[in-house]
Order: sequence, then C-alpha cells, then structure tokens
Amino acid sequence: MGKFILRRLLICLPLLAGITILSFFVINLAPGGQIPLPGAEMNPSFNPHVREMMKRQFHFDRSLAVQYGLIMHDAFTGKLVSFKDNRSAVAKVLERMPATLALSAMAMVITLSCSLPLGIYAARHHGRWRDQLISLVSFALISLPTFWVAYMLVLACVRIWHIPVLGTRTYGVEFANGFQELLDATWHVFAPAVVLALGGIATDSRYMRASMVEAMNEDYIRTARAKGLSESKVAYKHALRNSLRPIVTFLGYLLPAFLGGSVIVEQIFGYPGMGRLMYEAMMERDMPVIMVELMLGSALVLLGNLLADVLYAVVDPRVRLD
Amino acid sequence: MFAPAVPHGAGPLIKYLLLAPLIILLAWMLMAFLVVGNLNVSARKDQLTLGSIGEPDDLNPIIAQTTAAEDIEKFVFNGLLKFDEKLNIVGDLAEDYHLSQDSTAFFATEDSAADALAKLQAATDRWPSMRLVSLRRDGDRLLLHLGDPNERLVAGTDYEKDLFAIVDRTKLLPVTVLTLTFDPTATFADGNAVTAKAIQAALATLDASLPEKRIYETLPIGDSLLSVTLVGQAQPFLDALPKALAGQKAPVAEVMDKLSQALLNEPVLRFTLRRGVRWQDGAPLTSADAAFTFRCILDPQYRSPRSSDYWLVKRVETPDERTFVAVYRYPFSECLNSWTISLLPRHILDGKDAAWWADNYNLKPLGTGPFRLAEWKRNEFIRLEANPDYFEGPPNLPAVVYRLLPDSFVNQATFEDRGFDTNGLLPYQVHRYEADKDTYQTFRRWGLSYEYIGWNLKKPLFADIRVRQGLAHAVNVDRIIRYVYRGYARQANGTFPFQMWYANKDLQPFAYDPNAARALLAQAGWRDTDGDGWLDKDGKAFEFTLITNQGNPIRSAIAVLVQDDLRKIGIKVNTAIYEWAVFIKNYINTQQFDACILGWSLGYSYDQYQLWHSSQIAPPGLNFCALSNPQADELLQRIRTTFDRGEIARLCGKLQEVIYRDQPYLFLAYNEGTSALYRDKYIVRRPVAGGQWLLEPVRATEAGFGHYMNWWAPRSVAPQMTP
Repeated sequence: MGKFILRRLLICLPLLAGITILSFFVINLAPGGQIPLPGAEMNPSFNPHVREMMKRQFHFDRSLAVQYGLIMHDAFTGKLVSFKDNRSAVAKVLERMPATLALSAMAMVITLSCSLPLGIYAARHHGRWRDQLISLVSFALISLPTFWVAYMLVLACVRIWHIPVLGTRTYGVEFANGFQELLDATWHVFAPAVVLALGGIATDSRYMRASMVEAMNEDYIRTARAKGLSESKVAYKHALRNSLRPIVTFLGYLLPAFLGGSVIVEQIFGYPGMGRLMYEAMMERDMPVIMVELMLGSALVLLGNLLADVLYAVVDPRVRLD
Repeated sequence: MFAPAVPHGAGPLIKYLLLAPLIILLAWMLMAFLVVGNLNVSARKDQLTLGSIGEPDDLNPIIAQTTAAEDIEKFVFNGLLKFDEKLNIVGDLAEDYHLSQDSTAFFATEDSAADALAKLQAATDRWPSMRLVSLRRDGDRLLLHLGDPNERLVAGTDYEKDLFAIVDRTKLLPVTVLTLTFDPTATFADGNAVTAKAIQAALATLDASLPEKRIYETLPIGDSLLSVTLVGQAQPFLDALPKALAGQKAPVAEVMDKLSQALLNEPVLRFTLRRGVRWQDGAPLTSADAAFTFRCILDPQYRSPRSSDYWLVKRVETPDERTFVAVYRYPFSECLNSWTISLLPRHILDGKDAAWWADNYNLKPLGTGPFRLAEWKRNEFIRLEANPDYFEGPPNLPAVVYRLLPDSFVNQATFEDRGFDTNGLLPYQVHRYEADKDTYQTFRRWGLSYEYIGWNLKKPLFADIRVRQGLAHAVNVDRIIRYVYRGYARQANGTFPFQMWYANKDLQPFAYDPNAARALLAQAGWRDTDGDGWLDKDGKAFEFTLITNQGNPIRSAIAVLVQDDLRKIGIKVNTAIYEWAVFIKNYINTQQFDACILGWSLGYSYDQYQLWHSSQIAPPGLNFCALSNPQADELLQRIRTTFDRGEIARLCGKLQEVIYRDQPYLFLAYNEGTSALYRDKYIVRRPVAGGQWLLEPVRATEAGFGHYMNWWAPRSVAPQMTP
C-alpha cells in the first residue's frame, strides 16, 4: 500500500507540470493577450509610457516560453507576486484555502447524507412512482444552472426571511455566546454548500440507486432471500455493503466538481474562498494567481483521486494495490 | 408470493444510521436558521456602513487604483491640498501654499546680458505688471524671480509680453526642454547597458561634437526618463540625436515631449504645513514625509500608476520641518492637483522594499486622517475606527465599515434590507426610491463622464468635416437619452462636463435634424445616385463598422439606435462588439477601426492634452481618433501654462468650441447619477472657522453629498454647538 501511494505521488509530479504548461498556454490563448491592469487602460491620466514600463516589469515583452519559465521559477522560489497588489501569489491562495475546504467538506456532508438515503429509497421502490418522482427531481436538479439557484436562494434569504447569508459571518452582530457564533458560522457555510451540493445529490443518488438495483439482482441476494431473511435485512446487510463501492470512487470526483462550482457559488454568496479569488484573478488577468490556483487546485484533485483509489481498496478486498 | 417472516419496517440498525446524519444536519441548520435570523445587530447602529461592489487590491494611496480604495483613502489619509465642496483647491495638511517662478534668460554674451539688466533696472515701474520681484545677473544669464505676496499663484509665461517690450527678444537664446524616455532593458549598439548615466554620457559626447555647446542640464526622472534642457538653437542637436542613441535593434531612447520657450521658466511651489499634525501612531508629521512620498511615487519598484503626474517636478526641498518646496521643470497650471495625493509616513516606510509594503503597509495603512484601519477581512468588510487625535477634531462616529459585496444584484438586495446605509442607484430604480420620501433621501448629481462615438479621422470616410457634422445632426441623441439612459442624462456639448467652472455654457449642441444631415452629406458628395436607398459617392456606398466593448449594455444599446438613425438617412452601419482586452489592443490602440463607442471618465481636471493634442496620435496615444487641429494644439498648450482662473476658463471654453465644431467625436451624453441614503440615519456635524461646530443635514454639494462623510453623525446626537 505504502509503495503504491508513493508511486502515485511520483506520477503526480509530471502530471502537475503538464497541467501548468497546458493551462499557461491556454490562458494566453485568451483573446486580447496580456494587458497589465486592464481597468486602467482607458484612464486619461494613465500615461502610455507608464503602461510600457509596467509591461516590462511583468515581463510581457518576453516570449511566452520565457514567461512560463520565469513564472515557474518565481513560484518555486516564493517570489511569485500577484500583478494586482504585489503580494505573494502562493500566500494569497493559501489564505483562501481553509474557507474553500470548509465549504467543500460541508457540501460533501450534505451530498452524502442526502444522496445515500435517497438512492437506497429509490432502489427499494425500483420502478414504482416514488422512484420515478425521485428520478424526475434528480434530473431537474442536474439541469438547473447553479448560478440561478444561488441567486434565488440569496434572494429568498434576504428578501423573504430577512436572514443574512453573505460572507462567513453576520455583519454587525454582538454574539451572546460561542454557541451562537458557531451556529452563525455553520449557517454561512451551509447556504452556499447547499447550492454546491445540489448537482452532487442528484448524480450521487442516481449512482447509489443504480448500484443498489444491480446488487439486488445478484445471486447472493437470491441466496439471502432463500434462506428466509427479511427483505430489509437483505437490502441493508447484504446488498448495501456491496453497492457502496462505486460511491467511494464517486467521492474522488466530487472534490473537483466542488472546486469548479465554488468559482461561481463563492462569487454570488460573497464567500471569501479560492473560487472567488480565481474569479477575480481571471477578470483582472492576474496570471500568477491563476497559475497558483490551478496548481493547488489540480494538486487537491489528484490527491482526492488518490484517496478514492485507496478507499476503494479498503472497501473492496478483491482490489489489490501492490 | 413469498411473504417476509419479519415485518417490513423493522430493518437493521444501519437503516437508521444512514438517516441520522441527514436528520442531525437538518436539525442543526434549522436551529441556525432560527438563531441567525434573530441575532442582535445593535452593533450596526452607530457605525456608518457603506457597500462596495469590488474589493480594493491594496490601500496604499500611491499604488491603489480601485474606487473602493479611493473611498477608504478619504477616511484614512490627507494630502497637502484637497478639494472643497465647491471643487476649489484648498489647504489640507498644508496650512498655506504659494506659487512663484524662477525664470532664467540666456544671452549670447555677457554684454547683452548686462545691457538687458540695465534696461530692466531702469524700468522698475513696470515690474509690478510682470510681477517681477527681483533680478540678478550671473555671467551671460539673467535670473528673474516672479511672484506676488498677495497672490497665491504666479507663474507661467504671461509676463513675457511685458518683458520683451523692454528687452530685445532677438538677443535671447531660446530654451528647449526635452523629455527622453528610454528602455532600461535595452543595450546600445556597442553593447553597453542603457542607464540614465550612459545616456547622459552619450548626450555629452554628442554635445561636444557639435560646434556650439547646448546642454544646460540633464536630470534623470524615475528609472526610464531623462529631462534635457538645451539653450540655443536646438535643431542641430535634435537632428544628431538618433545617431547618439542608436541601439542594437532600435534607438534606446526617444523624445517623449519637447517644449520650446523664450526663457527657462521654473515654477516654485512652497507649502507651509499645519502645526501639530500627528500620524495615527503619534509620530509628528513633517515636510520630510511629503518629500518621501514624492520619492516613492517616482521609485519604479513601487509601480505607482500616478508617477506621470510628477514627471514635471525637477526637485523637492525641505528647508525646515514645516516647509516643503517643489520646483517644476516648466509651467504646468494644474500642478496643484497632484499635491492632493495622500502623504505616506516616512518613519514607517523608509528603507522598506516593495515586498514589505505589499505584505504589511498596503494591507494595514496608517495615515493622518479621521479614521484608522482596524480590520480588513478579505471579501467581507473593511472596518475603520475613529482617530480621536485627528487634527480637525475627533469624528462623530466610532466606526465606519465598508462591506465588500459580490455583485450589483446582491448589493441591491442587501441595501433594501438595510444591510448598508447609502447606495448608488441604477436608472430603472431611481423613480421608485425618489417616490419613497419617508425612507430615503436621494441625491442627483451630474456625472463627470461622457459617452461618445469616435470617428477615425485617418479613414477617408470621416476626413470631411461636413460628413462629421452631418452625422452629428443625424443621430437622435434625445432618443438615446430617453430609452438608454431612461432620461437621466443630458446631451454633451463637448469634452468638458458642463457643470465645471471651465466648461463652455453657451455652446449649443447639434440638434437632431435629418434634413440638415442629408444636406451636409450631399455637400460632401454623398448622394443616393443609384436609388438603392444607401448614399454613395464615386460608386461606393456609405458603409462603416461601429465597434464597442462587451459588458457595457449602455454602449451596445446606443449602437443599435445609431444604426437605426443612420439607416434612415441612407448610411449603412455594421456593428461589432469585442471583449475589452481585444477591443483595446487590436482595434483602438492600433487605430484599426472606422468608428467606436467609448467613454471618458474625467475627474476635476481641465488639462486634456493627452486626449486631443496632435502629439498624442501615435499609438498607443489616447488621441486615437487622430484629431490634428493646430488651433486646438495651441489652446491645449496655453491652458497648461496659464495660471489665471478667468483666463483658463476662457481658453477652455474656446477649446471646447473648437473641438466640438470639428466633431472628431459625436459627443453623446453626460449621465446623471442618483444615490439614496436612509433618511433617518445621519446629519453632518463639522468644524468651521473659529473652533465652532456646524450642524446641518446631509445635502448635495458640487463634490457630491458624501463630501462631509467624515463628519457624519448619528441623527440622535443632541445639538451641541461646542465640543
């Protein structure tokens, strides 16, 4: 097992390098190319000479290959700074990471705690109207655009329930006790996490249902039924354990989905995480921050995949990693 | 059918375990929902809360570029000067300021200098009209000092008329001030690196090779500029310049601007600082802080986008702790504006590099202002606390909080839920807020920005002024204002915002008149000769592409209406919308367009040299429509060297008319912005002369209703006339 993990980690390195090269050149394919401080472009007092000076400082006068080399060199010597405020790009991304991890964790909890019961319920009523209703709702959830759901939820919270939902804590509050503060904090993670989790709930419950339905048709289930076990014992003791295997793999894919979704959801909820930083960096063409975000984001995704593989081996004794 | 032996519902424990997380989660969140919805938000009451879409990158006033940072800067910092509510420049950290001028006349020989000195000394009765205070000879030079103890601003070239009535102008050697820009990463043809020193050496060698010596002075500015003062006929020197500056690929430096004068005029701006001003950490403010701020702006490592405002400053001096002097390379009438810049504390920042700034000071700035930064929670809020030590007196509110909101939709919803106190309104909201007078106080204000259609004058299609004037008659600006701006705009009559003191108030905008448009176009040769409905000339139809940038709904709506208006008189308009970066880089900066819809955001400045002077046509200059009008060029130059306010207003009015008649742009409209403030919250309680405090309602001023925001007080304050 240890050997396997080490080997996988080593494979990750060239993979990450490939991701950085690809993303650097893809970003530079964006129309218009590189402009320092795009907002200042049409400011009459922003002298063209100053602009040229800045282009030199950002190395925009060098070839793309040289620029890539400089960015990577700076990234690994800790000298890579954001175009916008000169702060270390790595530090900027790292300080946002806990918030996004908390959001992803909450979304994961919501996804799992909803999708497993839903999937099992649907599978147990396989083919009947309750199953079809759940299918219908799942497909509706998959089809809804995230940004629309997010806006509607913000609108409902602010306009109808008059409950604060932006940021990580309620503005201008004096908390009576720590418990109140904890409730407030979890509420502010919960709202965006629900939006982030909707897609996951829909897909994951479909997986769970399919996997459970498949398991229920296996020979050992017939055996279990034959020896007179109750239907629910058959389902929860024999079928469930085996049908959970694909769900474990699916966990590995949830993290990239959450990281991707957080770009939009964090922006709408004013949540200070990596996603919102990414959005701002892309709007401002802040290349160092985009690169660091992509690198750390890809690293997280690769780690998530590795974790899924390891878990898979844990739950399925037939899989051997060495 | 097979019947289960055990009842269906009584499954194993795992069934309930699976449901447990969901139930716990829902229960917890329901509790959170109930608690969070009823939290005690009393802390909001006595702090001013503002909302902002978009977050500042940093809060260092010489670096920051966002409007959010500018708003916060007003609370935390002070400049030497500031704009008052009528937009006049008045002292802030400077108690007083005074502008005088040192002018140097160069003569070919000592004899002619002595002769001129004698003539001037014999005519002392005419000195006052020139504002000449003192006069001295140094070899073949005459040093004149101009000034007036009763007048604040005495500089420029207006005195020359009187001077040349006494002294023979032909005896004087002309003076030329050049600004060279160079590329510090380039190398000379001989392989040497390009530095200011190397260029100075190359220029000295060039000068020595010419029959007469011309360089009077060279002076590096920042890391890529060099100011060169030449005395005598500059042309031979300028002709030889490219050879001296030859690099391996291209010249290593080029002339950015060139000013020829009869005398070398160097304005001297002298500030006297207020007594007893302290930084927010208790250290005293001195003139060294002002000099330090100036040095930082020009230091390339800090990347100040404002550096170009200070390129004209030759040097700064600090004769004593309360006196700060800036000497200019040549007269520039808006030199005062640049000293409204916030001062930086030298005792904290001196010797620190840009990386230290970025991680420390830029995030937690310290100024002299009424509020100091307490906390900046990224993407959430910036909290300022009152500075009880503020030199004008302690502020009335304990705190100001700036909420950082994600977008305009959430911004509106939060404002209506009283999440913050004042907000700028979108045109479609204005009516509703204005109607609700019990809840909101609303303020209308004319904007300082206008939208225009720029005609590329390099294209033959728009070269004829009759065509441009015809187009101005053909576009129905009223309709644009009614449907695009929903009535909250006014047709522009040129490039100066009409509420400013220097704007031309009498100039009538072109009226919508399709028949006049047709007549003017017919005069220019555009007629529908083939009867296909489109105007044509020499067999070609009048057709062009109107481009604008993505993400500005006002501009794309204007494009559609203009297309429709021009179709009616037989002009075929194609439209294209490009992403901002592409739009600027591939079309505007390269001047590869027929016509574009754009806007300028102008501020309080009347100097529009960069927008209209013919020297700014070369890409990537801002005169990308290529207006080249000698009369405008001369006015732009004179506005820069005139210090008399009445005269400036006259010249600006003339300039506005000249440009408007020439129609390089089809000037569309100035918008009117409306802001809403919750009526029950604030009044103004501010210090006035004589140590008194004035209580007044929040009201609109020429500088906006928020001009006295520093002094807003809770409405509940009992009237206290003395502190």
